[in-house]
Amino acid sequence: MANVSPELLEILRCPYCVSGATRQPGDDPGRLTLYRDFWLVCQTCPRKYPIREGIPIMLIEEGDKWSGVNVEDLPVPPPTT
Amino acid sequence: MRQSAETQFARNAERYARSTVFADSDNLSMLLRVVDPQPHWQTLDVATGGGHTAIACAARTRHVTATDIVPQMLAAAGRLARERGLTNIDFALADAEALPHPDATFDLVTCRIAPHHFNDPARAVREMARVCKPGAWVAVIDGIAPPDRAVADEINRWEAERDPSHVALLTVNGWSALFCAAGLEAAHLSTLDLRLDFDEHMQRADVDAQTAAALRRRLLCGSPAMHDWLKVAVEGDTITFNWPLILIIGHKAAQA
Repeated sequence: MANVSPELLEILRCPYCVSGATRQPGDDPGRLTLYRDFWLVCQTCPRKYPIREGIPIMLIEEGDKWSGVNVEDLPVPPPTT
Repeated sequence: MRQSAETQFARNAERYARSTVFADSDNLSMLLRVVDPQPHWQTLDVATGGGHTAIACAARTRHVTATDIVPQMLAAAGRLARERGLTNIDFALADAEALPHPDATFDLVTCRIAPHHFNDPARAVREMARVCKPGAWVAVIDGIAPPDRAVADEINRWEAERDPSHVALLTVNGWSALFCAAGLEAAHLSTLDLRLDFDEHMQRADVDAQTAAALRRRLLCGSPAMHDWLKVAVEGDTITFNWPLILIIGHKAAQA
């Protein structure tokens, strides 16, 4: 169980889609779906962010690493590095 | 430079988390006194480091999100929060220049003694303003550079040798300009002196003896203007100096 609080999950977004020059259109881009308690999957782009030891890894380069992996192929739990 | 910060703070996470300089200091007390956090507030602490600001806010506000780019710092901050019995603080690994939050989420965004590590502090301030609710607050504390560019460069070079993740200190005017450009109206601006002990300053960054000796010489033999800015004092073997800080609090205009 990744054990991330619902309060935090509610206010997390894909940093690529929500910030800076790469911001996507819409009022609330980069919404995330929790997958098998260990992954946050962007609903706007292909990026996926692992949750390691209860801490979401919300770095764009981390999301990039997993963007080519199908959701059903994401390792659970995510690898440590 | 971000890689440097990750390396530097991963090595010294526990030391920073347990540092009295970063814990219950006058500058943190002043931030809290000016902002007066309210129990219903949602707070974000950017580049939380040892978590001291986040923990202080968690004792006063409904929920705190603490972010950093160094996993070891978040782990150390998490241990400190658990020791204090706080359950309303969550952690996320995030870049201050690309915050993983929707617009207008937080009642208070804090960032304390960290922006001098940022490659693009203007972008970080824009991000803090973006995630701040209209009518809410962004509060930053950081070291400041003197207005004289040559002296500022001398101090930045000295500090970067101690801590390779140091990028640059901004001037007071530089900070005002960043807040203004991000749409934050400065509601409070003050400067404070943080008195540092040279040996402790070196130990916190795990500086080797040879580098520490060189930095000691450069501090003692620096330009008169650098001495004047840092108010270097020597008493026996003990060297102390000031690290001037800014506390700047911006108010995001409420939507019309």
